[in-house]
Amino acid sequence: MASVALMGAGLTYLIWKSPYATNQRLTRGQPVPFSHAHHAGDLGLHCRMCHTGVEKAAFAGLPSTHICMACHSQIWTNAAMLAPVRQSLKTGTPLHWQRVNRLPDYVFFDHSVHIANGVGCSTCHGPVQDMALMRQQEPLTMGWCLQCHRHPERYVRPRNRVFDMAWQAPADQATQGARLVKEYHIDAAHLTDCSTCHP
Amino acid sequence: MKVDRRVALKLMASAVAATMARCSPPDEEIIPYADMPEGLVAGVPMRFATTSSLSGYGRGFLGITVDGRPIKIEGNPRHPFSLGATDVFAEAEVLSLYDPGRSSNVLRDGQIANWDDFASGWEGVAGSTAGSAIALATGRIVSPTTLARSDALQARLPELRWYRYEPVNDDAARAGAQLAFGRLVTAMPAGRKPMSRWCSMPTRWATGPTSCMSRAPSRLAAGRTIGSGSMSSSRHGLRPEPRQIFVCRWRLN
Repeated sequence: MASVALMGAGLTYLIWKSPYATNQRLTRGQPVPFSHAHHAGDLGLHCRMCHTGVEKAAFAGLPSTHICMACHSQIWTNAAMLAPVRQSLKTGTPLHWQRVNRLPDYVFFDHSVHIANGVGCSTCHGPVQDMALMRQQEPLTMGWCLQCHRHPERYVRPRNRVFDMAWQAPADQATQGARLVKEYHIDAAHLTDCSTCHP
Repeated sequence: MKVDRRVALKLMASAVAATMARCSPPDEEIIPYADMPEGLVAGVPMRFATTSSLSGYGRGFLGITVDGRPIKIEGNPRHPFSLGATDVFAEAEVLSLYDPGRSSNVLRDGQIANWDDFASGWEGVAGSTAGSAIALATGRIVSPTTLARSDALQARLPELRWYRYEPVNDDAARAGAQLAFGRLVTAMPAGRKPMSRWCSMPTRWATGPTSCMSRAPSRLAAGRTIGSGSMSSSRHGLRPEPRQIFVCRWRLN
């Protein structure tokens, strides 16, 4: 009987961790089927072109309709799939996007501080440049966050490679990373304090 | 199979945990701007220099907004009135922006109308009369442009009535100065060069910013019945009589 309870607990834990529960790789319906693969991958637009707040604020920001229309008033001006964007421009009503990467409200996450400390976009968001429709790449569980907060040297990269979606950890990441952690003054001892993320 | 109390509790606990396993937060929307204001960063407080008027005097402050919502008025160190400080009126100013009684529309018989309605109504009244049916209700106006326009209006409509009212004003102080000195005077801190006109304002005396209060002679506050008198060198309770010119006499003595 005890083993049944133990198995139940184990199964529960597995479900809890599974992509089924974390919403990983779930593709949500969006008002416009925006393709990161096309814009970021094929065309090579910079992340900051649309996510304007990513270096300055907690929230990376989504582009205003005017940013979309900066290009789409010139190209694909009659595309049917862009009709909601044109409608938004005409009426001044914003587009309603479905959030893909979501953290609980009791977690304080700041994009700018991660960017400033050499955590690249692809470390958490995965190969966005290959995603036709956006999906959540990583589980975004606390255990997943702590992998890096316990050992930042395994993940940090040079600041000029932060937006490089093709960056791979070099063979000597252990030494490179340790050097960068020191250079960025990352105090690893306090990265796992509760109040770091739950102020 | 025997299920005792202990085992039953264990089974219950795992069943509850299993039920919660698929609990994930509800879907959320992100609604960006259709047209984002220049220089705005979502979620980051933005500061800008602004003025608010009190008794017709424009007073410089810094406004702070988050995502377009005003949250705080702070002092502007580079403005001669503020010098980095605020007063009670400036602190309260932000609340007026959320005042449900604040009307931003043209009203006609208490109903929301528009400027076209106003224009047609105006033509009907002002076109045929000398303005006897028209009243202008304003606060104190110091803008030369607005004054010139209202002068032109009065010239065109000689019977126009113009009501000016400020809930907080220095009319009494000005009238007192007229009585005592025969002309309008501005209070100056003793032994200092004349300061800007900002210091003659009523707000100064009602716990104004430190910039002027600290420099103004404390005895100027004597005789006032509101809070700032508590900082005076001496206190005198006075009745609010129109001919009471105690402050001026004090100064002359």
